Amino acid sequence: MSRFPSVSDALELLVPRVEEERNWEEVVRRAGPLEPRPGGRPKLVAALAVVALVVGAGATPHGRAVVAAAIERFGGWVSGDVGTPAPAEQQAAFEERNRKAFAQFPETTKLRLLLSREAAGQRFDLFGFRHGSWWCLRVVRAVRSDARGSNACVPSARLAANTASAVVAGEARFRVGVPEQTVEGVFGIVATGVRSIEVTRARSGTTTTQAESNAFMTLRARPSGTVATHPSADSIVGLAAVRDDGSREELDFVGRLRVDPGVPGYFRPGPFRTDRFAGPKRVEATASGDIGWIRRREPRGERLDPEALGFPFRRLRERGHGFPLARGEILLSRSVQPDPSNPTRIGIVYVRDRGELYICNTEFRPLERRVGGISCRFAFREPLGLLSIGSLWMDAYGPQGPQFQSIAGLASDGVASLSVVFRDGAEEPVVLRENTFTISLPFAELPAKLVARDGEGRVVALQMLPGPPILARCPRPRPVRVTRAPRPYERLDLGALTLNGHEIFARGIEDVRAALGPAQFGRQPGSRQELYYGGRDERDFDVKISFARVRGKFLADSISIREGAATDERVGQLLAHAPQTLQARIERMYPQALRLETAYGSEPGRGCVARFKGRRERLTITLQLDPRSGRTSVYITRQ
Amino acid sequence: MKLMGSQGASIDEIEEVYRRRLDVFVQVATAVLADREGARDAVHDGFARAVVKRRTFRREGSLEGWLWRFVLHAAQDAREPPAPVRVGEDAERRNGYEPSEVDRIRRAVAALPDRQREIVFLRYYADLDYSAIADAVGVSSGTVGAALNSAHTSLRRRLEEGDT
Repeated sequence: MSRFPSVSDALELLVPRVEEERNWEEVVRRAGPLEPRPGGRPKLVAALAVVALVVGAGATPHGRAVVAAAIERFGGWVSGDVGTPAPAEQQAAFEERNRKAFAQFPETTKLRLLLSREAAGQRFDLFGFRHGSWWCLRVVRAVRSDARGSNACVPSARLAANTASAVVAGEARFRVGVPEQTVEGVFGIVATGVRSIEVTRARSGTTTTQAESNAFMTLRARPSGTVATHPSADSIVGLAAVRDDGSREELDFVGRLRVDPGVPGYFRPGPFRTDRFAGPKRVEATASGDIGWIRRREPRGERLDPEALGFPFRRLRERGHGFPLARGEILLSRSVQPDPSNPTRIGIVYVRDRGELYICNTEFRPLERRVGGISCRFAFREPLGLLSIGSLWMDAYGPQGPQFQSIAGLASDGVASLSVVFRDGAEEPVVLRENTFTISLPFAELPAKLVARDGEGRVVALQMLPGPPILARCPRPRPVRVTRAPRPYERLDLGALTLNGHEIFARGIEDVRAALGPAQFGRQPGSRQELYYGGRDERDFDVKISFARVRGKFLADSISIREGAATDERVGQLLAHAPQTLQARIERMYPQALRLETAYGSEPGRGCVARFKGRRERLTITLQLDPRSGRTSVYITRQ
Repeated sequence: MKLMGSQGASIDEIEEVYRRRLDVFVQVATAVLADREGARDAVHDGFARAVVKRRTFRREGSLEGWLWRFVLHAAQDAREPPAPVRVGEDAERRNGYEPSEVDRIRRAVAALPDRQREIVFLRYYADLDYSAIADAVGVSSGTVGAALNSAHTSLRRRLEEGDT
């Protein structure tokens, strides 16, 4: 006989009713900007004003005024009927792709076809769909609709807060055909009344693409080339929206920073000191790094088998690899979705290895079948930790990467609230769930500062979210001439590639010691070996010889010359010259052995370097200026 | 601007239902999602969607039934797909989660078809009448009655079977 007198008793046991905290402001926030209600109660008006201030103030470099119902300008995106329903075949291909991903959009997600473009003889389709408060775009080749494609989502709250007529959501890059061509471009969302988008590239100038279905996509194809015949960088350096009345508006796009071609430049990191940025300057209280549910091994979130991530744990374990996740005991393995409106999930694996506790993590992104990587850190040491922050690619004309950066992290139990402070001081709250968080921010609005507070509102941790690197001119060279005679390890012959009259490359550690004498010290970083001459540590040395493991033996494959009197008989003392002068001398003295591949300053943003290649050997000689000290260094590698 | 009148719900009306019935909305969403935190999110998402779509309420049925439709959809959207990897029951047990009475009820409820399950939740947790359930789920009142009858029989049988 049943112990439950009725079905309702059984159900009550299953999910007891709990008195919930009312948070209507949260509903209003998620609903986005609303028209003021006629005769609405003062309380709600106040709540809307707060939401408007929070969302609007922190969101846009273009201006902070929040226009009521600003989001309405994006037409069909608001009602969900932008474009036309995707053809059944492409909808099915998307669903298939989605099903196979670790982090999935809801099964009910319906694609809308926004527009199509031709490039490299193929058709590319731009689809749109909504996921909660996110507006998402997906570019795929028409013949490969089930491929990963290029995907980007934009939080609609940011569009509501932004007064711009268009937002660049992401970049597309495909490799197609034989011989291979690279199809690349950008795509995004436009407001009603935008006629076209102008795209300006560093070398090929400006092109225009028509806006359709409140969206745009511009693609161009060019030969992919090879390592030997790599095409010149031709990155996008600016975008503008052209309205129906012909007026133009420059759009936020990370990558448009540049200096004139011909000026040597390099990318330096943006500001990263929390005390020099807007918002709280210092930590006011200490908080433990404890995360109770992980320490107690509570199975929150979803189950996760680390072996299924495609990471070769078993093989590494069998080989005795030192990675904690490979060697240690797995205590808990879960997958957590920090923000219900964001399909990104965080995989968390709690590990004990040799008495130490680690939290290892990875990130599952929608429509991706693989994880990018797994990292481990000591568990429960800090109240706030970033697990990952977007991705950034660099090329010769600027940082190219997701226009919306995805940032994930962990916060300890001592963190009651999290917020992001922007450079103008505006602050936005961050959703915190099961001690995890994900943030999606326009790259153009970074850097920003992450602020963790305890239950009493005291700051317990600060963390900078780095912004795009800044393109800076290479400083004036300050080479240093050393008056002493070169030591044995400094007697270089760039033509014969010898040190002290001995071949070094492809020689073992003992052979090198025999040729150059005993080293000051050695190191074993990862799977390599290093010998240091004439210095105190790995940052302060004259010459470093590096060895790679080849068929079980360590063989020399690179020479770094950082300081001292390294001298080539024909060129003279190497570091006594600025890179340009050194480049000219090497070109003059070794025309048969070396060819100049990259002249100093020929590609702005590629760094303060000149590069030679061997004519007969697979050899690279890099002459480099340290942007901080102005000193020259030389790096020689042979494969 | 038409916020109230013959068609459409006002924000005030929606807020009134939210404040009065939040506990029940979260209870049902928790039953659907098996996750109270996720349920809270789904309820707030559902109400937010309803606020955005408030002009589409036709006032032909109850406002609460109409709101349930959004909350259930939000809960369905938030329902996570089957875990891509199962570590197996042993792992659950190691973590201290032995099968229990609650698990037995959960299994019995889980065995119901999706729509039947939602109708049961709306009937027993939210105490909605057949007409409001019909509005929420998008079926006729007759279908609601038949589904409840079938679900009730199935649940009793499974719970009693588990006791023998």
